[in-house]
Parts: sequence; structure tokens; C-alpha cells
Amino acid sequence: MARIVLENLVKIFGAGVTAVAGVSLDIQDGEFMIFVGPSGCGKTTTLNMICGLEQPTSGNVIIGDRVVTDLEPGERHLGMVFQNLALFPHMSVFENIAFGLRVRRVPPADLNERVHRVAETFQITHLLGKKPAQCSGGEAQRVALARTTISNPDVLLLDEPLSSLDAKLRVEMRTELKRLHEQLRSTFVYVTHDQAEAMTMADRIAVMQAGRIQQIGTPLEIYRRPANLFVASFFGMPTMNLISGRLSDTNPPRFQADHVDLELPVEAVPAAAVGRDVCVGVRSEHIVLGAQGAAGRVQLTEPLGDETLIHFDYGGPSQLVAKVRGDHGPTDFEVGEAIAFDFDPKGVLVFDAEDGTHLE
Amino acid sequence: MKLVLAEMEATPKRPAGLAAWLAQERIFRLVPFVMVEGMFLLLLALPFALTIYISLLRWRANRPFEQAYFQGFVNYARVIAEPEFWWSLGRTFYFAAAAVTLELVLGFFLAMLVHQAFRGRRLYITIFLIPMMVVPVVVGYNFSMIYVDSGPLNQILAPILTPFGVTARIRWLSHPLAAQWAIILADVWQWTSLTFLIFLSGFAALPPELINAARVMGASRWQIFRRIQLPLLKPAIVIAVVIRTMEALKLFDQAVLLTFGGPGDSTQTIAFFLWRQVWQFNKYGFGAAASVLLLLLLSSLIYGGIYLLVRERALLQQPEGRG
Amino acid sequence: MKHIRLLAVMSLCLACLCALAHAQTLPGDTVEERAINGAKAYVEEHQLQEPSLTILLISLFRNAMPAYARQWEELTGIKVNFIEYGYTDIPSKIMAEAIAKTGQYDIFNHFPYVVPDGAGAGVLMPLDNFTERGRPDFTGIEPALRAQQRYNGKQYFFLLDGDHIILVLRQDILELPGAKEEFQAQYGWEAGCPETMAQWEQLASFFHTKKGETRWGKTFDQDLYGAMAYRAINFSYRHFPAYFGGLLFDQDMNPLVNTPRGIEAVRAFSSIVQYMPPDIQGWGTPQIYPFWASGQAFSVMSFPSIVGYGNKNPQTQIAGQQLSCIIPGVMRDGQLVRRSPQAAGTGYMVNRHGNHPELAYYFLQWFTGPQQGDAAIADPRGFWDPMRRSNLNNPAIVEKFGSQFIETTMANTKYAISLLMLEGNYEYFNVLDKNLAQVMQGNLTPEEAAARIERGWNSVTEDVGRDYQIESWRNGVASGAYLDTFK
Repeated sequence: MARIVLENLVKIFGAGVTAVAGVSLDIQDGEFMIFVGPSGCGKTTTLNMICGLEQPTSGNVIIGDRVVTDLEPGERHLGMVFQNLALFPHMSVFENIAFGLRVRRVPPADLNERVHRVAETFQITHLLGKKPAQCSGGEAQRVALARTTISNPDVLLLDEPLSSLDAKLRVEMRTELKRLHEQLRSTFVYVTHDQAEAMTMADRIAVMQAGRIQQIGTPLEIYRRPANLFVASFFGMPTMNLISGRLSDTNPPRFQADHVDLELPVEAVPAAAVGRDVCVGVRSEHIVLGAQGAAGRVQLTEPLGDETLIHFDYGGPSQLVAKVRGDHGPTDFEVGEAIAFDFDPKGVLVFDAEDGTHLE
Repeated sequence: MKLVLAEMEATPKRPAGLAAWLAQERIFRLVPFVMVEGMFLLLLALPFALTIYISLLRWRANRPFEQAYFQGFVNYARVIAEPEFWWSLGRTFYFAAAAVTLELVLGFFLAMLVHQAFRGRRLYITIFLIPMMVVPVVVGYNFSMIYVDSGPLNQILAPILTPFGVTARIRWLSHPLAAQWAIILADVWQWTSLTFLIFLSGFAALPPELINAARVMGASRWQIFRRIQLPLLKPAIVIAVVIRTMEALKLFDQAVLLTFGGPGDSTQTIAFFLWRQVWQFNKYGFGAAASVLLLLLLSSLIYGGIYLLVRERALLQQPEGRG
Repeated sequence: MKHIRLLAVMSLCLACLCALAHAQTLPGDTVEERAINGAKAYVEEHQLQEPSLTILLISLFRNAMPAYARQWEELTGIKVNFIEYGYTDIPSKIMAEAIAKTGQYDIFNHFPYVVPDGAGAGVLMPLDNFTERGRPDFTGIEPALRAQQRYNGKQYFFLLDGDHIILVLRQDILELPGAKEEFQAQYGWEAGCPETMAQWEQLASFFHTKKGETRWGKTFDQDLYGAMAYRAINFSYRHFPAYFGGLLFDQDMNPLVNTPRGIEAVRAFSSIVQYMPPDIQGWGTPQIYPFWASGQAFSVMSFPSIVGYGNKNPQTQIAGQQLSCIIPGVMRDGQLVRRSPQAAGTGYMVNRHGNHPELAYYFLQWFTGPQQGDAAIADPRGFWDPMRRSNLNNPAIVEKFGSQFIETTMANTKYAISLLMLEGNYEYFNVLDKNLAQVMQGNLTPEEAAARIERGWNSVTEDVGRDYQIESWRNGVASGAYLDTFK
């Protein structure tokens, strides 16, 4: 059983730098948990505290039913895949995979058999005699995974393992990791700064910023109901459109900002937000371009094939982006063309103008 | 044909002379090579050829060079028949082996200790690096004071040796065996700094992930050292061995300054032997032959060293894990 | 027949030279005046602008020399520059100049033993043409030291340093109550300056005292070594001839060291080491002088300047307690033979490749002249040792060294001999040194060492050229540089 509980973990480094400022989290057994956030947000430090490479300043790490805070990394029954894989360059692939068993003095016959079995699983049997430097990026990735999983760890920690791969391989490896998780059914804790990775693989996502967890939830929860402006703008491509303005207390309420004055249906506006300064967030797919609404002018079009992104200027401080389907509606916008836009009420998110929390 | 001529006349007249000739792309491209080759010839090939030429002459500098004459391989035969040459060579290998071994072991452990983060680390690094920067002459002078019969070294050793019934009056500079170790120790004192520096940078270059990975896999400190750090430091070790061995085979300063090759010839190194043959005894032809012979003898060693260096450099430059 | 012809030629040459010399002698009553006049005339004749001379100087003299350089400049308008090196480095600089012929130096400052190689290589200027005009004065310099200025019949060197070795005893130890009586009872002669090396060893043995012992009413709070002398590589050869007491080669350059006398010399040279500080085989002057001054030895055989050091050094424990002795001798055919090798003895030579050899020569003649040279010897900053008989009566020199020392060292001068003045002499010296060291370390017997030295010397002789060496050796012996003559 490998449920992981983090109890108010704090890590302050020597120079008074607070890397993790109180993280509490309950990761279920067999769950695929992804820590995501910008660099420096404390996600890797948190991972290192789970694995034992960093000692928390305060707080506890519980794996299964053991408090492991003071245990050596090797005593925690976990496996870890490092950002640059950390394959031992001077050892053959076989020795890399066997290392964890060797240091535990597994008998040679047993060791040999297990290495070959795991190599078969990862389809790297042909690489066993090679050095890591002779392997391709994807192969090295699988070697690292094989090395980590050979000792059947309760918990698998992965620290941005895909960051060094090219885009195509990265997408392939996502699927592979997901499949691996289903096969092993052990608890995965995965750190990335890539929100797409988090969205595609995670059972749950913990979004971190400035040493704190901003939101925990399933990928869709995070996408649809971001807890605050940070989460909202961190997820989604292109970035969510944000417009600061005011919601009038009229009925129906109107959203008024520089050069924008749009009527919103009552159900789209949380009661708490009426009559206040707010920030309205609308994802690009929820911006409707048509005959009605506020005026804008097309600045740039980005055809993606099935969809096209329309960047347009409405007179406010930044441009807005709308996503239109390639096979529906008018897609032949031209740069400089005058347009009108409106919000799809079900996609309107309202945030507190002051602290950025999502108002519901 | 006419057309070609017309074209040629049409091209603007180019400036004549060397500058113009040099300015041509195909010539200009060669200039760096000519310079490199020229430097090579001037700095390496020419003196080397001259040395070989002199080695074939019967020439002692106590006669004018004009009276020197070609005598074939006589000097080589004399060098080979000279027991002192072989003795000095043997001495040199013995010093080099002892000194380099000690320097490697000491430098390695100092670097390992200092590599850990602790307060005052920079200070220690600086202190450990000082000996290397001291001018050898000064080292020689200082050590000749330290090694004096009633000097500080014997005084330090006294409380350690006396309980074992050994009188701590080691004749560091006048006992044949002690003098050899006096020179080895002075060399160790000065050059452990260098191995320390090489190993320190070696330790610093070890990717911490590798050690972390091993830790997570349950390796003990000793296993990490033995199976990860030590093999990964191999390039640094090879560099240290090669550089120090090549240097130690040239051991000269300490032999001159501490013992002047004595007592007897117990601390005569090959470099000192050559120096003495040429600069004290004016045996230029003989000295040249000895140095050519020495080069031939050592060239296999040098070649091996350079080969190892190049190979280990290649390993070092190889991307760690997957880049 | 041959002799008569040679004599005839020589006298003819002499007559011609005398006539010439008389015609061209420089004006001036003293050696120094003639040198100054010669230098001025040379400058005028060659119309030199800002004339200058450069001396390759033993760095030991860096403090004393500038004053004389200023004096020379005031007298002649010729500036003197210095390039300083340790004395061990200078021979190789001279030989390098022989090949490179840069003219960078005008004057070389070193020991006479660099002359054979330097003259052979052609870098040293024979000075006889100049001495004829300048007429330097070597009176009062003992024949062996005077002969040392010449090589193969030509003058190359102007000596200004009587560095022949002496023996110094500790007067205060000798005079401890009962010491002399006890010694007399044991050895049958009165403790004091020894006649022979064997007697010196008796003294050394007798006065060698361990720390903590109480003898003659004195408790020794440190070891007292019976003897000290130079026994290191590059030094032994300077002392060995005193033990050998004769020519090291016969007239055909066959070494005489592998003989009963030579073997005995090796044995005696090594035997006394047991009473010396254990490090002695590694010691040179920087170790021996302070150790002697610290009072930890009863006797020392050394350069004469050790007496001044023992009296004047600020840390000295033995000021006024030194008894200088003339060199002990060895018994040869029933006769006492004392030989005091001129162990160093600095002097000056002219670079043939310099720009103005003649001008350089005048500086040599001036600086080493009877008055000027004595002034230098008296200079408290300098390391020049007495060497002329006139030094005995020079108040400044007596004041500097003490009359007992001056009398002893001047008496010693009578026994002064040159070390080998042969090409390749440093190699001969090295062969000797190495084998003596092996005996002192107990690796070789004196017999084995003597045989090895003989072999080694023969091979050097062959390498340099036996015929050439025989000629130089015979010339040297004939000049009186070694006092002894062929039997």
C-alpha cells in the first residue's frame, strides 16, 4: 500500500530562501499525481522531500503507513526517474538496470532473470550490452524506466523525465507512461512544468506556485474551474483571455471595461461578483465572433489546421484570442478586418480583481 | 577566344605585388596553416633537429664549436655504456612512482573532504593550493631549512618516533635513503596541490543526479564511492597521473636545491644528470645524445600518456545521460 | 737539444717583448694609476661616448661592489654595470657566452677553475698584451696563487681572494681546566693546532662530546661535534688535496690516486666524518657557518672567512674564542707535507667577445692592484680574503680579521695550492666527490673508491684529449700552481 501523505511540508534553504512554504497533500494508492507549476515553484523540492534527497525543515512525509521523514532515500521503497535520466555513463545498460539489485545483494541468477524480464517489458533487450551514450533518446528513457521499476517500488517519482525529448517523442512517451502506470498500478508522482503533460496523464494535478499548492483537482476541474487567476492562465493553449472591468448590478448584468460593454446572462455571473471590480476570463474557444457585441480589429490569424486562432485588438490593453473551428463558421478573417465579438456565457469565469480568486 | 580576351581586359586592373597575391581567397585561406606549420618548425622541429645534429658531433664546449666534428653514434654508445645514465633514470622512475602515488592518494582524499560543503571551505581550498604557486627555488630553500638535522621536521617527528625506540635524528639530507625521501616529500608537498585541484574539479563535475539516483536505489556511501564516483573520476585520475608523471620524470629543482644530487649520487635524477653533463661538464654532444636517447625511451610512455589523456577527454566531453 | 732550442726561442721572444713593452708602457707610478691612465687613453683614442662595462658578478658581492664601481666611474668616467648570478650558475653563463658570443658581458667574476674550460672555448681573453703595457704588480702573492692566474702560459685571471682552507679550533674548549693535561696523557702531545690530519682526528675524537656530559668542569647542554669540514658533493674536492699532499697525476696524466698514498688519503678523508654532524654530507656554507657560530663543534676546516663570521655574526656564541691554525699536513716519505687548496678564490676575467676587452682589462688591473685590492679586502661588506703579504701590515685588514688570523692565513698561504687547472676539471671533481661520498656512506671501501676514481679520471682525460691534457698539466705543474713537481 503506498498512499502518500504530506503534512505541512516546509523547506527553507540555507540562505533563507523558502522553497516550499507548507504543502499538505494526500496522494491515493495507485494514483497518478502530477505536480505542475513554473520553475522555482517548489515542485521539485517537494518531490525531493518525498524521496528523501532533501530533508524538510518541518512537516512529515508518510508513505504507506510509515513516517519516512528521517529515512534514507534507499529505505523508502521508491523509484525515481531524474530529469536528465541520470543513467550511469560508465556502466552498460545491463549494469544500469541491475544496479539497484546489486547494491541490495540480490543473487546473480535471480538478478539476471529479473533484468532480462524487465528489459523485455520495455523492449530494450537488444540494448543490454550497450553504454547509455549509445542509446537514442527514447531508448535511454526506457532504460531509465526499466532501472527504476525493476525493484517493484511502491512509489515511482518522476522529475520532468520528458523534458529533454523532442516534441514528437514526448507525446509518444506520455502514452507509454500512462500505459506503464496502468500496468504497474503503483503510485506515480510526476513533476512537470508542461501543463499539456499534466492534462494528458494525471489522475489529479497539484498546481504549485511560490512554494504553495494553488489547486488540486482532476485535469478537467483544473481546466474548467481554476481556483484563481494563476491556475486559469497557467492552463490552456492559448492562454486564457483576461479583461479587467466591472460587473454592473443591473439585470441582466453588463460587463463594462475599456471599449467593452457586454450583456451577460444572470446565470453566468456569480452573485458575489455583481457590482464589483472583477477580472473576467474567457478561453479562446468561448469567444464568439459574429455580427453582435463589442468591436474589434483582426491583427493576426494562426491557422492550426482544424482550428484557427484569431488575434484581435479591441482597444483594451492587450489583444484577445478567439479560436474558430476550421470547418464551421467564417474562418476567412483577414488582417485589419473589423469584427464584433461576444462571450459564450457558459465559458465566462469571473475572478476577484484584487486577490484573483475565482468567484462562483 | 576573343570573347575571353575582351573579358579579361574588361576586369579592373588588380593591385600588383605580394598583398594582392596574398589577398586571393585560395592563398589567404592557407595563411593560418602556414603560420601554424611555421611555428611548429621553428619551435619544435628546428631545435629537435639541432639536438640530433649536436648529438652526432664530438663537441665539448671547452673547445670552440668550430673544432667540433662529426663522429656518428659514438656519443650514443657512450651514453648507453654510462652506468650513471641508467642509474639516474632508475632513480627518476622510482621518485616519480613514489611521489605521484602519494600525490594522487593525498590529493584525492583532500579533494574528497573539501568537496563536501562546510564552513570555511574556500579558505581550505586556498590554503591547499598555495604550495603549487610557490616558486620551486623557494620550496627548495624552505625545505633545506626544514630538513636540517635538528630542524623542525625532526622535532615534529620526535614525539612520534621516540616511543618506538627510534631516535628522531633522521639525516634527511645526508643519508642516502632519507635524502631520496626528502626529495619525494618536498615534491609531494608542492604538487599535491595540483592533484588536489584536478580532483576537486573532478568531484565538482560529477553530476549530483547520478549520486542521488544511486542513493534512491539504496546504495551505501561506500557503494556510491566505489561504483559511481571513483569510476566517473577516472578521467581526472588519468589526467592527474599523466600530468604529474610527465612532470615528475623531469624532477630537477629539488634535487639541485636540497641535495645537489647527493649524498653521492643517490638523488641524481635524469634531468639533473643531463643538466650536469651539459652545463657543468660542457659535454654538449654527449648531453644531446643522452637527451635524444631519453626521449626515445620515454616516448612510448609519453605516447601512452597522451593516448590516455585524449581518450579520457573524449569520455569527459560525452554528454551525461541523455542530452 | 730540444731544450736549448726552446730556450733560445724564448729568450729571443722575451728580448723583443721587453723592447716593445718599454716602448709602450703606460704612464703612472702605481699599478692603479697606470690602469686609470690606460682606460682614459683608450676612451679618448676610441672616442667612446658614455663608456660602460658590464660585470657578470657573483651575487655574494652585490653589496660591496657598487662602491668600487662608483669610484672607477669618478676616476675614469666609465660606468660599471652588474649582472648578478649565484656562483654555481656563472660557469654555464660563461660557456653559453662562448657559443653565443653576445658581448653582453665585459668582465666575468668567478673562481680560477673556470679558466681552463673558458680559455679552451675561446671566451676568455689572454691578457698578456695588456699586462705588458699596464705592468700589474703581483709581489707579495705566493707563487701558487700567482700561478693560478695563468693557464697554458697565458694570463687570463686576476685574483683577489685568498680562499685557501684553514683549520679553526675552539680556544675556550681547549682551555677548559684539565682538558689539555688529559689530552697530553692520552696522546702524548699538547692539544692545540695539529701538525697532521691524523692529529686533527685525535683532537676531534677527544673533544667529541655528547649532550648532557660533564667534562673538565663543564656540562655540555648541546652536542659538541669533534670536527666539521666540507663533505658534500661539489665541496669534497676542495678539501681532498690537503689529505693527498701531492700531485694528483704523474707527468703523463696517469692518476696517482690508486696508490697506497691515495687510498690512505681517501680513508683519512672519510674517517674523521664520524666526529662531524650527521648531516655534514648535505651541508654547504649556509649550513656550516651558522652551525660553527652556534658553538656546536670543536673544530672546523673551512674557508678563511669563517673566522670573521664566527667573530662578527650577531648570533655567534664563539666570538673571540677561535684559534686559527695553518692547514694540518700528511706524512710523506718521513716528511710533513702541508697543502692548503685554494678552495674558491674569486677573481676577474675578460670576455673576448666583449666590445672593449682592453678597457675591461684596465678595470681588472685597477681593482686588484696592491692598494685598491687591499682596500677591497679590508671592506667589511666584502667577502674578499687576505692573500698578499702586505695585508699583514694593513691596519684596516688587521682590524677586520684580527692579527692572529691574518698571521695564520698568511703563513698558510705558503702552502696554498691550486685545484686542478685542467679542461673538464668540474668532471674530474665530480668523479672524486661521488666516490668519496660512497666511501663516507659505507658503500665502497677506500680501495674500491680509489680504483673507481682512477678509472673515472682516465675516461675524462680521454674524452677531453689526453695529449692536450698532458700539455696543460705539465704547464701547470711547471708554473708552480701545485707547489709539487714531478719526481
